[in-house]
Amino acid sequence: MGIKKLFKIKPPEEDTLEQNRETLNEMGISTRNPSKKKREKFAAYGRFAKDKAQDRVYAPEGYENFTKPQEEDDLNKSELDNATPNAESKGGGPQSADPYAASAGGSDPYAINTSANYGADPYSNMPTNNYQGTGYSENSYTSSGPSYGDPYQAPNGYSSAYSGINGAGNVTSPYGASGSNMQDQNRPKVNPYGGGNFRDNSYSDRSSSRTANTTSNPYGGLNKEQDEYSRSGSFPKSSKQPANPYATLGTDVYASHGVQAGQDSQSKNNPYSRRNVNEYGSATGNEMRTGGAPRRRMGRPDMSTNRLTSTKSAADTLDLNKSAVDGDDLNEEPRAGEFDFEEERPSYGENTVGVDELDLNAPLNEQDQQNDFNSTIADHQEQLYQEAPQWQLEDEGLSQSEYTQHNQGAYKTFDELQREEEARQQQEEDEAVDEVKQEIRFTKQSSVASTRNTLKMAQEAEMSGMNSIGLLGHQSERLNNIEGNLDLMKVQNKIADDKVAELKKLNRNILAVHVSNPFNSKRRQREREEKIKNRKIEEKLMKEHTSQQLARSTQRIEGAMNANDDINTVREKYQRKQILDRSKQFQFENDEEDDMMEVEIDRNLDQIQQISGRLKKLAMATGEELDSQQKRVRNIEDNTDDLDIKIHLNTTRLSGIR
Amino acid sequence: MSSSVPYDPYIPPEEPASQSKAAALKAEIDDTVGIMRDNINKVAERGERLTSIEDKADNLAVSAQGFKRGANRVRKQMWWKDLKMRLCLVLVVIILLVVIIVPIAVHFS
Repeated sequence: MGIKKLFKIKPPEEDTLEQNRETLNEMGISTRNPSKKKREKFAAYGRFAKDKAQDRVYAPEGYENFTKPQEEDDLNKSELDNATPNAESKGGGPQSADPYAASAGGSDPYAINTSANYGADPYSNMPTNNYQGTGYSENSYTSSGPSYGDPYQAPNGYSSAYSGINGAGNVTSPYGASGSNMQDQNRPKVNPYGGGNFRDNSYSDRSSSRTANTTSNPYGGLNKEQDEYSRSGSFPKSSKQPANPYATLGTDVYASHGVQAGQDSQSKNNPYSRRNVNEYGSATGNEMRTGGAPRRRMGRPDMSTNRLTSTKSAADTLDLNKSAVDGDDLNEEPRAGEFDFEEERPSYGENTVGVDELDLNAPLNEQDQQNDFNSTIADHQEQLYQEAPQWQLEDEGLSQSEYTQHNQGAYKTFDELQREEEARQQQEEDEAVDEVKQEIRFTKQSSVASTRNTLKMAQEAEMSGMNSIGLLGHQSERLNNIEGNLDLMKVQNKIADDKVAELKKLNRNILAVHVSNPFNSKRRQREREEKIKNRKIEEKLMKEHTSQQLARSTQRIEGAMNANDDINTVREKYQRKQILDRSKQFQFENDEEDDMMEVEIDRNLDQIQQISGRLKKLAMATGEELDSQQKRVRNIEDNTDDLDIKIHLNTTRLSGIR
Repeated sequence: MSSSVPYDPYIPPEEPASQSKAAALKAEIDDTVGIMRDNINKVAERGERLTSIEDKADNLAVSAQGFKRGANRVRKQMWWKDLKMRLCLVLVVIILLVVIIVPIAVHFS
């Protein structure tokens, strides 16, 4: 048309979204209020999910770039698309303002720590776990939580029940962390069982390597590592000792296979003096070698009982043995003495030596057995046996000479022989008993460990259950958002319907003048008002229904999340006796430590039970929530279909208008 | 066999407390696992539904877009119609005026 070009006239531009909204509001049609932001309780979980989510696309090699959706020109693109405040971005929360985003970004010390450790060394964070977890078995929660990688753990209120324990974990964790880091650096080079290496080192070597272990001494690294390890191990222990009655148990479980309770307490009492012990060992160890050995040989029959009851004298030497250097020397002594009586039983000696050897590493070994199923106990034993022959050889040489010395110039009477025989039998019996006891102990330790492990896993499971229910909560909020929008669409669609009908009516032939009956205008007015009212009421109902659904689901989820009852510590105090009575049948000559273990097993079981109860509740809540969401989703689906059809109808009607 | 209970040489020992505790625990956990299995199924179903919702939402968006385009088209059309109408009216008025004024002017001049 020429006139158009001539006058350069064209229809006015489309209203912008804001203008449109204004006009609609003026007309009394409800619109979405963009300035009003609904408070989302589970927004953090949305963020969490977004961080976790990974877009998985499958592509053969070399075709990866085709996996990206190609940017095609959207023919339907309009400014509305850009102008619409995107629901998703709104839902995720403003990124910069999100406090959880920052913590997710990596300022979480736990997260970094554990992730680094996990990557580098499977053992490294286990000891930290272990040390934090001794006694406070809840602590494994704190260390396992981060390993789960949940940055929202602390900020979200639901873990408040554990926050106190978190604090406890924080107190010890610096040590644990540093220890694990040290290990992290050193560990790959080092055989954790390589205590045997030290036996070739002289004292001077040892001490020099201590002072300058960055120098060329090949064992310097090892020493350092051992040192660091032992120190880092013992710090938490010592810090825990006053507060925690289970410290004995805690250290013991992982620190010894044998029966040297005294030794453990000793080692626990001077955790700071690793070096001192060593120096002391180098000084006094020699003394003991010269002076202690004969005494020992003399007092041999006593020694057997001594060892069973693990009295001080045994513990003393064994304590010295703990410093790995001294280990062989001092250990030879008792065995050299023993040899008089029990040539055929080097196994016990071996065992003690092995234990002493392993003391420093013991936490690791235990952890290996627990967590690393590849390294079995057999490995560990093998190690022992590999080391054994050398000593045996030495022993034999030593003991034979000593034996001859001992026997020279002294005849034995029959009584003496008999007594000796009796003593030997006695000792054998004692040792058999001892072995069984050890076995009992070992089993008990492993059951403590396994309950602990189970507890940890249960806590992790609870954690992830919480997370998933939180995600469900977030999704329920999103669903609510969708529902609200759909309701709005419905209302507006109805209005559009009316408008289209009106337009159609007005667009009839110009000659067909439509004048309504002037006599019932009042009635018509009333009808119109009624209609508007009804529509509004309907809208309100819809809204109410939607928000009710949301409220219910939120309530359900919050209920599930806040269900953690506080851990009952008082109960244990009163039930302790009962527990011990009950566990009498599993105990043999129970000592304090044994009781501790029983109590811990029981407590762990209790906690696992509590957690499993909570897990069940969580699972049920999740199921309910899923059901309700299923219903809502179905509703949304139906509504969407409905609306789609209606809009399509409107569009066709509109296109009929010419 | 006078007694109602058949002879059973093996009488299971009464379960110690901790064992029963463990058993209860196990039962509970099994229960939970069952529930969770159901949940997983539900989630899978829900996932399907969500996918279909996504499809439908896309459809809805397309038809809403179509409606919008249609409405816009109608708006422009109506505007032109309006314009034409106005022009016609103006023309008619002018013609009328001319028809009225011209004879008068001719008559008086």
